[in-house]
Amino acid sequence: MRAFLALQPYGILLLDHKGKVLKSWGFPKDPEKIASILTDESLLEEPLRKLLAGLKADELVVGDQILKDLLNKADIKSILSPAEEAFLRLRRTPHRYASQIWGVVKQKDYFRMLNEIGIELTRIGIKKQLSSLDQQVIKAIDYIDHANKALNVLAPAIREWYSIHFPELNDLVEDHPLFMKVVSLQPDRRKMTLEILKKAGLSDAKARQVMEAARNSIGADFEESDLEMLRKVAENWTSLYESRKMVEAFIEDLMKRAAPNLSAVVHPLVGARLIAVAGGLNRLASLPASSIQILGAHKAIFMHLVKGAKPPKHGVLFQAKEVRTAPKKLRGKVARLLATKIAIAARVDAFGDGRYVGDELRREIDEKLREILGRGGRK
Amino acid sequence: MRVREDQKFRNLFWIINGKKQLATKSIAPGHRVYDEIVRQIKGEEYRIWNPYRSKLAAAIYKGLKNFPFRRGTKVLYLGIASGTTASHVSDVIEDDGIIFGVEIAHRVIRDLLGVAKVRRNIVPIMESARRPQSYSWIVSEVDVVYEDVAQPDQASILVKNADIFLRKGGVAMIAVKASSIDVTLPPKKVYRLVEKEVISTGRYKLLETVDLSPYDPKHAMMVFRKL
Repeated sequence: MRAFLALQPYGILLLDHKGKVLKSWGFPKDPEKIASILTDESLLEEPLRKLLAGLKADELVVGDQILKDLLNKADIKSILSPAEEAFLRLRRTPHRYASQIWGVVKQKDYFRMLNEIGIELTRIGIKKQLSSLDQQVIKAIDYIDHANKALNVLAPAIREWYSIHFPELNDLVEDHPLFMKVVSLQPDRRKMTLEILKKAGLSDAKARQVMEAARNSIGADFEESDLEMLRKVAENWTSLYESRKMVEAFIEDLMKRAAPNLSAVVHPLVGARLIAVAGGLNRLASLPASSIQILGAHKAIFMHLVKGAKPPKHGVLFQAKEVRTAPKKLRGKVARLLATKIAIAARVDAFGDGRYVGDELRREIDEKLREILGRGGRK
Repeated sequence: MRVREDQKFRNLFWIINGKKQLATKSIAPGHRVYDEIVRQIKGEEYRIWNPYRSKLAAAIYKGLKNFPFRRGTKVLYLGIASGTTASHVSDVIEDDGIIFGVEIAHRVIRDLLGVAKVRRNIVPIMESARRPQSYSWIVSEVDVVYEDVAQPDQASILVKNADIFLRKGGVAMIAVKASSIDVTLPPKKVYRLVEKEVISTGRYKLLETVDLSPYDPKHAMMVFRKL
């Protein structure tokens, strides 16, 4: 005999091949409770055991992945086959089956229950996904910090090395990415051309200067193989640099999904850093605005508390262009303004069921900002 | 401004106001779902159904012969997104019908939640349409499977779901985006491929293929019946 095991919104049923109920375990008639049972599958383990106790079947057929996973976990052999006749019958008149457990249920009311269960489960699902998204944001920011460190340590080392061959370039091209581009395109200073230098991104005037310096360089001549090594090293630096930019773009994208409101209020990368320092979107959302204002300024705040130094005006928020570009005297004010709106945005993102108020908050910031900057340093 | 019910399809309306525009009678008056135009006529609220925004509306404008939605219809909607098209279907099937709306992208399903809160005949399901076994516990038997997922394997997704949930004699509709299946082939060839894949199971027959240009170039609505 084959037995059929089905999870349904109203309970777990054990059926024969014609869809007749052999045994059942009912859920409470409450959408919220049903949703919470279905988000914590371990709650189904006990009823499942009771249903299967003493069952003599040659084959156990299940109709859905949730029960299948549970059975696998319990080492009970079963096959997943949701299109079996028994299950088709079950789905044909689900409200009648539900009536066997809950007492008479009309189809319309049954569907209405499904609507509520669906909404509740989706809400929980979105929340879960979001919390995993903000954890991704944190890790990606971590990657950027480490990549930055590596880039900043490696660049001087490569510059020093290359300076044996062409020391003048070190002073002429101060920008690391540009410098590396030149070296990776043509490491041999004797073979450099205006064309190559411009392709690397140098301006016409700068390129001419470099050509001039290359001709009169006091550097040592390098073997072909030595130059090739340097070229590869510069190339690798460049690709690490590119990967950092790529991850930054990725974080912006991630942030627009994980925290669309926050991303509208401050630059997504600043928002990402706030989430990272706070340890997650939910944590950021539970901080008061005053804490958000100085988030990332741990050292300064402790110096203030312990030694009575001046309190910090901003932490991570200094990276927001509104704060950075404000006159020094007003930065505290601007940071405080941003912090208040960030607090609201983060809360909507974390607990707002997908509401979007980002543009409105942004408009309020711009208005206040004009007000603050407009009246200059006066109180 | 006059309103007239479609001659063939119940619960579809045409608003005549110089031009003829497709509309549905709102079951949730006062709630707009996207930026659709709303008309009040004789105490009823009609929502204009834009063929440029909805492939199903485009198919109706292009002379779809098999419109399987009416009062009380049960629908499995794969790729329901934020519920633009589904909201009109929800109007047509009224409170006696139901739409099981499957969508994996949580960004759009957020919008759908808002729609489902005022339209109680929509059940949001955040799962992948590729894994019907992950929602087979909640979905009942349906009269129509409607799919709009723009995935290369959309034909096989349709069959997988229709095999489990569609009643015998029920209708399976698929909005085919030719370029997401094979950009190198002319659209007509792609439609043939989809047809072949569905028909070869031996469980479905093709009722019609409606080309959706100019509303949605290189798209077609294909309608099958489960045998």
